[in-house]
Amino acid sequence: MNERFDAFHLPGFEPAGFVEVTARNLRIRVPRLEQADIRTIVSRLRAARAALLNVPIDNIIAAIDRSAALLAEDSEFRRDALRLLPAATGYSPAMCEYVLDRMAVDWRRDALHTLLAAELDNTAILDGFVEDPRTRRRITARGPDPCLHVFSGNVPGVAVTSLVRNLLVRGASLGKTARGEPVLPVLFARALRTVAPEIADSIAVTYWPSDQTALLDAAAESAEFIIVYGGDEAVRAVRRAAAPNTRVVVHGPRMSIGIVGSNALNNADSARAIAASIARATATFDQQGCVSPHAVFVQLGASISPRQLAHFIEEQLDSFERVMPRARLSPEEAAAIRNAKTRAEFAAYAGAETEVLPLEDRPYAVIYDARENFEPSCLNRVLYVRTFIETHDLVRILHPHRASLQSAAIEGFNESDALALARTLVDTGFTRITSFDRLPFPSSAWHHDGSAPLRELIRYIDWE
Amino acid sequence: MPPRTLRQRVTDLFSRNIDQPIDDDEFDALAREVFAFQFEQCAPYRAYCTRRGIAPSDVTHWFEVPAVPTAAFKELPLVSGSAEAATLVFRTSGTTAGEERRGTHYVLDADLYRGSLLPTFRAFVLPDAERMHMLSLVLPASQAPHSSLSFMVQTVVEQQGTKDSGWYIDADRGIDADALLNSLETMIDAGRPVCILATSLAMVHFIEFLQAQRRTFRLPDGSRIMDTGGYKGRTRTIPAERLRSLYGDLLGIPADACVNEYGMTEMLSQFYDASLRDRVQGRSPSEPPVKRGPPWVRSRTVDPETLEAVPPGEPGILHHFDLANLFSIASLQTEDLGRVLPHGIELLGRLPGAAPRGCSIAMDILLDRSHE
Repeated sequence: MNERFDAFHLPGFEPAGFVEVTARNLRIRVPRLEQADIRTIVSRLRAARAALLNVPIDNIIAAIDRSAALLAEDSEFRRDALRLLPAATGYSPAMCEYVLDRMAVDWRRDALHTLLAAELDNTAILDGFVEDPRTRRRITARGPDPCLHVFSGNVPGVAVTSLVRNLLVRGASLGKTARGEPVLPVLFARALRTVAPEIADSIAVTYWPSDQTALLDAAAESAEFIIVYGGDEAVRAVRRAAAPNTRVVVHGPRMSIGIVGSNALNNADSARAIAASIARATATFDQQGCVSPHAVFVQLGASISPRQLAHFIEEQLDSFERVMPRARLSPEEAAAIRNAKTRAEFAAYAGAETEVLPLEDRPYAVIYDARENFEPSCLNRVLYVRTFIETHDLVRILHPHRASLQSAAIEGFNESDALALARTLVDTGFTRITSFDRLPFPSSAWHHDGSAPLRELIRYIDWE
Repeated sequence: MPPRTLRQRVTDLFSRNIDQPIDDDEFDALAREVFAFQFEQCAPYRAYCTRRGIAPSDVTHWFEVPAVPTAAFKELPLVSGSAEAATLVFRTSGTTAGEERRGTHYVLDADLYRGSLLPTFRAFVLPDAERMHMLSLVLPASQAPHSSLSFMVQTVVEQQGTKDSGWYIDADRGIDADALLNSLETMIDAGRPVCILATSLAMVHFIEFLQAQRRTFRLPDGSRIMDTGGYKGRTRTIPAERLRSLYGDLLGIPADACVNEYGMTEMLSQFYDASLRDRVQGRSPSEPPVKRGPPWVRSRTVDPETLEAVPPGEPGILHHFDLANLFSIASLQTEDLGRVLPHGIELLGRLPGAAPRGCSIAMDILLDRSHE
C-alpha cells in the first residue's frame, strides 16, 4: 500500500489542506473542502463553461478522442490507470485492462458521432437558435451549468462516459467520485488538460466521504442538473440535498438476466459457444455491473438440457478465471457466496432439482436451480441457471422484480418468437434487449435505464 | 431414537458443575458418538458429509466433524429422527423482505432444551438467587409458538420466577410501558429486586419511553437485566456500551448486572456475559469481556475466507459443537465473528452484509406498529 494518488482535478483551485483516505489498497489524497470551497469550484466551472460555449463541437470531439487515445494507447495516463485501478477497485489487472479498453471505445470519435447523431436531429441547436419549420419557432439547447455527477465505484469507466456526454452538450461537470473508483475520471480530466486545457477547465472531480453531507448539500444546491449512480442510500442522500426544482436522473441498482431458447441448444458446439458468451458476461466486472446477468433461464426440451448448459458455463468460467481472475473477496462477500451455495446444496438434499457447480470453493459458481423462482445473485461470478418451458412463464417469475430489471440477453429464438418475447420483456420492465456478447458493454447511444443519454442533459430554449 | 444411553449421557452433563470443563477425551468421545448418530439418522447431513468424503469412521477428533452452515436450516428440516415427531418448531425471525425463507429448527425432545437452558441461565443470570421477580418484554410462548427465545423465557419464568412475575408485552399491542412502570415502582417500594428479560430492541423502546417521560429509577440492589438479540435494529441503533450505561442511568442497574445473552434458533444451548457470575464468585472481571456457555458446548473459529481452522485466540467465524443438539445437528457454522479465549468467547460481530438474524427485527416491526 505504498502507492498514493492525488485523486482530484480541480482547475484553478488552491486547496488549503489535504486529507488522506484509503481506497481498498490505494491511499488517495484529496483536498479538505468546506461548503465555501464547493461554491468557489462551481463559480470557476461556470467561467470555464462560458468559454466552452464558443468551442466548436468538432473541437470538443477531437479533444475527447485524443484524451481517450491517451488512455487506450500506451501513455503515462494508461500506465497510471492500469497500476492504480486494480489497487483501488480490487479487480484483477487483466480485468481492469479489458474493461478500460472496452469502455474507451465509447469515448472515441466514431462512437461520439454515433451518439450525437442518434440523440439529436440537428446538432446545430447546441450552437445557437435554429429555426424549426414544423413548429415555426427557433430552438436552442444548453447543457447543465454545472452538472453534478455522483459516481459509483462498481464499473470503472462509467464515470468517464458520464463526463464525456456532458462535454458533448457543452455542460460543465462537478464529479464526486466513489471511494471504490477514484481513479479513472481524474486521469481522464488530466489527459484532457494536456490536450485542451480550456476544455478540461470545465471539469472538476474529487472525492469526499459520503458522511460529509454539507459538501453534497452545497454541490447539489449549485447544480443545475444531477446525475447519480449508486445504491438506494446514495440516491436518497442526493434527492434530499437537491432543490425541488433541480432535475435529478437516477441510475440505481438494477439487475440483468439471460434467456436461452431451444434453438441454441440443438448441439453441443452451439451450446458451448453460447456458454462462453454467458460466462464472459458473468465474469466481466465480476458481475458487479447493472448489465451483469444474475440468472440465465434456459428452455427445456432441446437436446442439450439446461443442466448440461450449466456444466458448460462452469467450464467456461473456469477458463475465463485463468485469463481474468476474479477479485479477492471480503469475508462478507465470501460468506454470501457460501450461503447461496449451502442453500442450493441442501435444497438438493431436500429433493429439489438443484446442483452447485462446483461444490468446492472456486472463484466462480453456477447454481443450477430448476425450481420456478428467481432470486438475485450474491454476485462475484455466481450465476443461477434456471429452466422454463414457455417464455410467458417467465413473466410470472420476473414480475415481482420489475422495478429493478434492466437488460435481457436473449438468444436461441427464431425471429417471430424473439419479437414476441421482446414485447413481453418490455412489459416486464426491461429497458434493453441484447445478446450475451453485447450484454456487458452497451452501445454508446444506450438509453440507460430508459433515459436518453444526451437529451436528458439538455435544457431546451424556445423562441416563439 | 438413539441408544437410551447416548441421550442419558448427554442429559447427565446438565447436572454437572457448570464451571467445570468436561474432560477433553470425554467430550471428544461423546461428540463423535453424537456425530455418528446424526450421520446415521439425518440423511441430508449424511449426504453433506459424504460429498466431503467424511464418514464417522474417518473422524479422529470432533474438530473434524463437518459443521453445517446455519443457512442450511432455511432449506429443509435438519433433524436426527423424524421431523413429524417434533414437539417444538422454532423459526428464525427472517428479514422484512419476506422472500427469504426462515431457518427452521425442529426440536424432537423439548426436555433437552429445558435441560440445557435452565442450568445455564441459573449460572449466569441467577448465580446468587434461587427465584426472582421476573418482568418479561419477550412475547409469551402462547403468542409466539415458533420463537425459541419465547420458549426459553417462558421456561425460565415458570421455573425460576416468583408467582407475581409477568409479561409486559402483547403481540397486538406491543410493550405495555405503563404497566411495567407501575410494577417497577411497586417493587421499589417493596425493596424487592427484579429481573428484566428482554430483547435489546425492546429495551431501547422502553428506554426511549422513560426518556420521553423524564423518568429515572433506582431499582433495588440485586436487580438485573438479561437482554438479547444484538443491536441490528433497522430503525434505531444504540451501541451495546451506550445501552448498558443507559440501564445504569435510567434504571440504576450496574453494568455487571446487565447480562447479554447470545443464542440462536438453531442451537439449544446459550452463552451469557460472565460478568455477574464472576462478581458473585469473587473473580475479577474478565478482560476482554467474554461470553461463556455451558461445558457441553465447545467453540472454535475458522478463517472467514478459507474456512481453515485458526489457532485459539485468533478471530474467525465461530463454530459451535452443542451436545444438546443431539436430535438435530450438533456441529454448526454460524455467521458470527469472534475469538475463542481460555475463559470464554469474545463476540466481534456478525459478518457484515450477511442477512441479519434474530428476534429483534420482527419485534421492531411489531413495536413500531404499536407506536402508531
